[in-house]
Amino acid sequence: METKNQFEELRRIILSDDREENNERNQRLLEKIDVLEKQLNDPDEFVKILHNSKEQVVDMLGPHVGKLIRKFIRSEMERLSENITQKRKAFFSFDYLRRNKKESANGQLAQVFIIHKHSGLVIGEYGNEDTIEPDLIASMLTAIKSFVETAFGDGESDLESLEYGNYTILLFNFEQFYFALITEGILTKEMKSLYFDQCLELADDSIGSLSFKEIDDVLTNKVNKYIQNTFFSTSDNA
Amino acid sequence: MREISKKIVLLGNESVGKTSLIKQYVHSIFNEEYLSTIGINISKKSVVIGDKTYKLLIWDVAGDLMNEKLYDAYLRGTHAFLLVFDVTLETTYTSIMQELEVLNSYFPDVNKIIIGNKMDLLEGDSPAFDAKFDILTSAKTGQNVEGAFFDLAKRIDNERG
Ligand SMILES: Nc1nc2c(ncn2[C@@H]2O[C@H](COP(=O)(O)OP(=O)(O)OP(=O)(O)O)[C@@H](O)[C@H]2O)c(=O)[nH]1
Ligand SMILES: [Mg+2]
Repeated sequence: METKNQFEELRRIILSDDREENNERNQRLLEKIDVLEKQLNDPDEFVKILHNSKEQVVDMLGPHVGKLIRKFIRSEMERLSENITQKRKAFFSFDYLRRNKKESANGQLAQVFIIHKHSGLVIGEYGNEDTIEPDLIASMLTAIKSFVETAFGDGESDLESLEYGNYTILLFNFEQFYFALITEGILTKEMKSLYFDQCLELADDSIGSLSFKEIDDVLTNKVNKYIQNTFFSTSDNA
Repeated sequence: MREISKKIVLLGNESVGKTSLIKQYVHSIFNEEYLSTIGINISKKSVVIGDKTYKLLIWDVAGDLMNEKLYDAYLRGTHAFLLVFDVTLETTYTSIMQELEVLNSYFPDVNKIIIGNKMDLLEGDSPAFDAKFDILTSAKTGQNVEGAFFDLAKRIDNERG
């Protein structure tokens, strides 16, 4: 089974942690993984976990390629939405993007973030519809991204996209910040490269000259406008 | 009013009360039940200091996530650390002192605040073991919880000069 290898990989990483004082902790982590693996291999059990004790659905599980990444993102997003609504009721926070929207054009941009790479703080953000808690979404994305890149990367490559249901989150990395573009529907190569060009242009022209020593509302208001003009202006490419 | 965003990270052994402190601070709730955090939880709350608002993005890192490789990935870009120990358990204190040393070498210029939590369980007014700390809190009663985060925001504010 595919997930089996991914759990093996996780175990390997934990066991390769050679700080002596970590042994006991690692043992507990390994036990948790055993339980989680059992739960994940039983879909009914997994759904039950999602609904009953979301605290248990974790990021240790998540980014193991493919399906597990989606489950991870989903659980993180649910947890996030819980934070936001403070309700135990399950709903996926990206559903807000769908409000008032019929079947929309494929690859259409729902929201664009520019996120400070290290801190995960929002440098700027703009979307077609009101967003709840862009700050939390940006921090979560940054945690997910760091996790994947650190645990499964070779230290060189960056995570380029995440899929979540009907949404693809494209990630474009620059030195101090990264773009996260939330797109809806099927995304063609052409659109992806168009978006990348737009990011490049924005990074070169306006954003590149800014200082991110302190991220405040003066900075974000400015960058929000740049994003709006670059990606969401209705006058061009209509 | 000017609004400035900051990344805050809570560290400390399992079960010292990191998640409880954040829940008390952000939502004013406390839960006796122990639901160990797996991975990371992120919350947000704003604090006003003088003429500025600090928007705190608070990262709650699970005590058992201290696998060095992953741990480092989450700490970059942090503006202040809250190191939490349990006032009834000396081992949790020893362990954040070790962590403090590592943090001081990786992030020498970043604020670090040491919190002794679960002060409601103390007999007297300090832990039974020798410990240096900045503030004692109780996530259960709420005592000093607001104060600890306020203190941290003030330190961030001061360092801006
Ligand atoms: N009496 C008392 N109990 C507390 C206090 N803070 C937390 N607890 C209890 O201690 C246990 C652990 O609290 P958590 O907040 O989950 O601990 P944590 O540091 O987040 O643990 P991990 O997520 O495993 O790293 C829970 O049962 C809490 O109810 C406190 O101030 N006083
Ligand atoms: Mg916790």
